[in-house]
Amino acid sequence: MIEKNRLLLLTINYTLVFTLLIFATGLWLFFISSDIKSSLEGALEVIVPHLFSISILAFIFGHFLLFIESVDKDQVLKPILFLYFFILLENLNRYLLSLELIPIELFNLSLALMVLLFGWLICIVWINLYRSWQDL
Amino acid sequence: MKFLVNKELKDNQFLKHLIYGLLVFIVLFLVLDLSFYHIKIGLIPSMAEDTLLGNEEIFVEPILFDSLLLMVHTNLFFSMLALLILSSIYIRVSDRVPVSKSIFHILFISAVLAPISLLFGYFFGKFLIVAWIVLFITWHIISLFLAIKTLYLVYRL
Repeated sequence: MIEKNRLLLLTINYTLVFTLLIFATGLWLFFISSDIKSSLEGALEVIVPHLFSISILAFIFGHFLLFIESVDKDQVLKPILFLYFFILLENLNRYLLSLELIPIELFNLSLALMVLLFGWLICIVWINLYRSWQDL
Repeated sequence: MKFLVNKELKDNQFLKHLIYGLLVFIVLFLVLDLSFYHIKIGLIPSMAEDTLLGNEEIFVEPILFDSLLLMVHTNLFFSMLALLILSSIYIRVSDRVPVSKSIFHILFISAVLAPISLLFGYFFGKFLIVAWIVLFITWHIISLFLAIKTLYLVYRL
């Protein structure tokens, strides 16, 4: 059973590495794309897959915390709900930016806050996984 | 995915069939992913070099980096989900320690390094393109093996 748990922890660890790679390639795409103030169609092409994919990543990492006893669930719930809110806000701002209703700085701010909160979630999962690994 | 497969799977025919269906789709994803990349980039070194770096002799332009990066970015997400679900189910349904830890390391490390080699192969050329092909085929073959073995294990339950 311990070996199985170790393998599961290993899988989760690599999933975290994958997530960092997804973020890195996403940021790379963000910096090389010159038309951040794109058309409505261009914005929707980005928003539609991201609404699903970022929220499912948040769910996957959030649900890992359910099985880690050392984490106080009430304490981490609020930031995770904030993360969901910022995922929504970032996508909404991208839509509003394509309609030229908000300045680009506001969009950048919501993007930065979302990335920061997601980074926090990844760190929490990683630190607690490391502890669980040592306990096994 | 702890909630997905639990100890009562044996007695839960409904969940067993749902997982069986999911695994069939994961196998299909892996096979079609191989075919897609073979058609789009090429899993033969000369073909992949022509697509990524271009070839003046046969008038082939190199692929746009934006398109390549977007393809890698999207594929990373789907590969991650497929591998996470597949390995979680496999670990839980197997009776003993499933396969050695090193096979899991090889699977995940090749899956992580493959897109990195592809992206850097665009800039640094032939060696990394060959590395991408080897890593890409390696992780697909290992995951196909795991998926088929898991299908058998779930069927046997």
